Amino acid sequence: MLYHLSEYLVQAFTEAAGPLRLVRYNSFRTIVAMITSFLITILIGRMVINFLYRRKIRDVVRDYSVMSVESKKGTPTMGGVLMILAISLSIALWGNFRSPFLYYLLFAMIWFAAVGGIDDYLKIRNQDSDAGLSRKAKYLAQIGYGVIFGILFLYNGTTPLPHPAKSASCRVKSWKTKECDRPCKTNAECKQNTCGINGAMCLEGRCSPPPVCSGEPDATSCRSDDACVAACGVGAYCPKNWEYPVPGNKVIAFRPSQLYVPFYKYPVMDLSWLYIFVIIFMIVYAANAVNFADGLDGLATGPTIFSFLVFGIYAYFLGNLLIARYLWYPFLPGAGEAAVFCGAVVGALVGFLWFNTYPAEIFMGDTGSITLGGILGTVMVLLKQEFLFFLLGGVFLAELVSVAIQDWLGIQVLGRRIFYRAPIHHTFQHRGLSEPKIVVRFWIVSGMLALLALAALKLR
Amino acid sequence: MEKRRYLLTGGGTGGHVYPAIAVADELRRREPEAGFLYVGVKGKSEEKIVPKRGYEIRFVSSEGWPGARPSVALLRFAWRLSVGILQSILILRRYQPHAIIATGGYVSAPILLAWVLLRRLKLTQARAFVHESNLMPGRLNLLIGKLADRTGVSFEESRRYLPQAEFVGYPVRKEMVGITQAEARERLKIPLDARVVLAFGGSQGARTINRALIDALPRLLQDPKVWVIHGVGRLDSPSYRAEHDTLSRFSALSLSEEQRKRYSMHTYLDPIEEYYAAADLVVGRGGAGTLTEMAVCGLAALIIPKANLPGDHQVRNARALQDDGAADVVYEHAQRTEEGLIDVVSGEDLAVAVERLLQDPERLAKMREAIRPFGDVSALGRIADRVQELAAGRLLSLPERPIPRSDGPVFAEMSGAGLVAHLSRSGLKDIPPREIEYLTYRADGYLSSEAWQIRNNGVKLVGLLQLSEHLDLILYILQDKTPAPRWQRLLGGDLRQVGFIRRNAFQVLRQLNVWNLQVREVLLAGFRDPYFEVRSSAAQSAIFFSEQIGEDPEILAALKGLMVDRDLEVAREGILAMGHFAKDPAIYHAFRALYTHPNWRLREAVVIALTRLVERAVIAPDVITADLDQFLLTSIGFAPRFHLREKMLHLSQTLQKAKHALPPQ
Repeated sequence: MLYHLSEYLVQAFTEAAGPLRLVRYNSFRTIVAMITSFLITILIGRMVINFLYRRKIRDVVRDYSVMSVESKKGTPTMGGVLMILAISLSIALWGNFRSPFLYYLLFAMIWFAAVGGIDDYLKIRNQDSDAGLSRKAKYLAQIGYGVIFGILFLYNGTTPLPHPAKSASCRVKSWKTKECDRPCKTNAECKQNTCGINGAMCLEGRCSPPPVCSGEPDATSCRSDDACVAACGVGAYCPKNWEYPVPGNKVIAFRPSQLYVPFYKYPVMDLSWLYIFVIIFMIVYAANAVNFADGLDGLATGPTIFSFLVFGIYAYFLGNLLIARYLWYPFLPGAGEAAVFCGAVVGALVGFLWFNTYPAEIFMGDTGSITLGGILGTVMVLLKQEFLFFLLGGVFLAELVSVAIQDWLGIQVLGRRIFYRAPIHHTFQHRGLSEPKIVVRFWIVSGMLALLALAALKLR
Repeated sequence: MEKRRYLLTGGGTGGHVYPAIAVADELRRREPEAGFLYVGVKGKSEEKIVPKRGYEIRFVSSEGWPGARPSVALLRFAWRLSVGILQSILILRRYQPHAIIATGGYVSAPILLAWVLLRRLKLTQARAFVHESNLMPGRLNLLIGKLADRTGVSFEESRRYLPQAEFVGYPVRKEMVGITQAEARERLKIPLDARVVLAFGGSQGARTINRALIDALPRLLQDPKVWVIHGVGRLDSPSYRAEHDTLSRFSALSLSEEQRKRYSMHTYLDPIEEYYAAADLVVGRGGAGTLTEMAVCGLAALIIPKANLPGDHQVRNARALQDDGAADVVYEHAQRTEEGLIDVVSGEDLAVAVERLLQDPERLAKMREAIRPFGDVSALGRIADRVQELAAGRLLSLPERPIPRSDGPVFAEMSGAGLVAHLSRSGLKDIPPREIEYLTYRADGYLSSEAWQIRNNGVKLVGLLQLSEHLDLILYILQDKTPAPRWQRLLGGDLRQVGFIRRNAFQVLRQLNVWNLQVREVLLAGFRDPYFEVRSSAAQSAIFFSEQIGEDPEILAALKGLMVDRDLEVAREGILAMGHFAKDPAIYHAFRALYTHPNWRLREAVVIALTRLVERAVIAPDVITADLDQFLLTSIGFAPRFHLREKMLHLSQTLQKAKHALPPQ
């Protein structure tokens, strides 16, 4: 909302509203979205905990005279609603609703929040942790989302990523010359000698092309240079976002269905519609990985924060033409909004950790873990960084693989345990590590992996 | 009136064909003009029986349900059934029957499914009557019973599974009754004061009954009053040749001439009414047909139900009679023989059961009375009435009858895992001996399964049911070193008796609480088992049997080896066990070596074990006191105590006390 308000104000009162132009910047909105959702979580956290507790969204203690003084039974769950609330408010304030990325992420959040919410609700209603949605129903809901999202993502008309048939936003060529890019005080000064650009204005004390020609997602949309020349003047063109340069003066044609792997600049292959299976797999994988990791206080929260931080940085870089070109990445116009979203999620997660760290006053429940996992899966597909998650989310990989080996291979096929317990954090508990120690060690490992994942930005 | 056309279907085994034929006979008696068509599967028992009874038969393709797992068999099933349904649609369209009478079995599936389809499309006028003869309805009848116009069952209890069904009884032929014991014995040349045992396994014969009876003969015939009539059946397949096998076994027996005279063997018991009438006790299978015949004739029956049939239906039929004191049951047990794993009843068991009944005439008389209600001669008429009503297009509404409910757990409805869960929750109390007998039968069935998941339930049941007589089986499982398939070994498997089974077998040894040399051998082998849970379970068992083990040097040496096991869990158990067993003060060095072990859980076990050793005065206190500062004492591993909960607990306990202290108002 504030984004669109500031835009309006800047156009209406150019001079007075000058500083509001800050709101146009992705980096600024990412940071404030993070801070906003963090503050919201902290401020309403206590209220939400009390609300959940009173509504009996927890294990109800049946007999107080025999209860354990060691267990955390009775701690309110479904804390995911706290995060979802904070993310929604923060995005409502700072999001640019012209970016398709935002809609995809909001769709993911709503879908998975519903799945996790129903699951938690059933568990609580029956006071039985096995009475939630059946395993089959959960997988079906996740696969269903994967199919819908996959189709929207791969179909030319709806994909948020650049594509030859997709309209782009007009840009202005070579503005950075002395005549064009010069100091100014009023808009009127810029109207003369504007290098052929219509409607140049004075922004931050320098003459600049008007926002409608700036290449942002909300600039005039075009399919050919002609439209841009007509709208902005001689120096404007319609960028071919689906092409990106790589070293050696080569240009690579980008497609949403191409497979990219970390540490390698070029697409591995184009899977076309088969790519939908990759998408479904990653969605189901991410949703369940976070779900399994949510076993100890703060265990899921920490690695998820790191994951969203790294994907947020990727989103910001890929949504910025200059940085994307510099790092030899395909430029994804509008991806900056994914950074804002990731920022809001990180803020909410940190705020949640405030209450969730050992000993927890609130658990996120499936409402939290499945939602976070679903958003995470969506973000990495949108940024075409799915395979980075195997490195970045190494902790999640360990959790999921340990469960798969133990339950499917060990218990069902071989008739033996392969680990003491699964997911793997229970093995550490069995070996005698205390809960806070395991959690912090998992954070340390995922922090290190996050650094590696960031190194993959340049190391290609 | 137009000539009515009736279509009959059902089969696979005689048990499904005979009721259909009985109903057809009755309908033909009432409406001599009516047309009948039987639909069956080629090569099944209906192919022979039906034409002999003077009915036309047509064949469709069908196959039994192979299970939901994806397999070639499932594809073949789908193909055959689809073809069968198409064939049935043609038959139904051409023949245009007024009523369909289906008696269950997969043979009736194509016709019934085709009927459901045509009915939906309003392409057939036919009404369908489905009859289920067994207590536990078959898979198909459970499905179709809800869609048919009328469903009839032979046991009131079946309505628990088919609530919309009507109790009609089993259609038994009318000529069953009407011959006295004296007449029958005169014809068969058996003295009137003899005690006659009639044993037979249906028209085909049953290997279990034939062999058990031959094995039981020497003992049974010792009593000069006992006469035995044996119907071996006409089964003559490569796997079992009833008459040949029985004769050769019989001639191997050492019996006197007089004893041989009191045994008579028949391929076929015809007419069976005569033999029934002559008998004091009948030994037979648990199919609904046989049971109803016995009930109509009012016979004392000893039932050997065939095990592992779909829905375990013979066992369930037999138990329904047993519940009402109308019959005794002897269960088949899986046994390893030269023919592989087959279900058997030992001659000894059969002889004991028969003798017990023969020596108790009062009990026999009671059984004869109690079995009567199960055989209802009016059933056939009732079923024919229903079918005629349907054919005439009249559907009388059923009188409301409450659905029978069982009090207490119904073990027959529980799965293996369900039984294990129930028994470990509620224990063995309040379970009558005959239920234990049934549960033993279930455990036996599981133990002989090829799938380890099922076998594992069998092992657990042996422990929960305290089946000491199965100790040999448990020891056999622990000694069975057959390797698992290669692919499983590559993935971390080891033996055919998988880790869970071996681990649970050790738990069963503790539950059975029997100690002998074989148990000792198995325990020693358990300490060297490749799977860690087995080694730790063996170590626990050592502590459990500590009294019997005493100072056995071999076991002590093995336990000492476990103290440094590569697996944390095992080493912990080993250390605790040594604290329990050690007698030699020199063991202290082994403990001292673990003082700085990186894992605190092991160090904790060392502390526990040392405490025990000092209590047992094995090690002098000074020795340990001198080196306690060498012990790596880290502050690690804790259980939280939440103060608020502690105080709340205190409050609620105080509240309770105060409540009890109040004077009564």
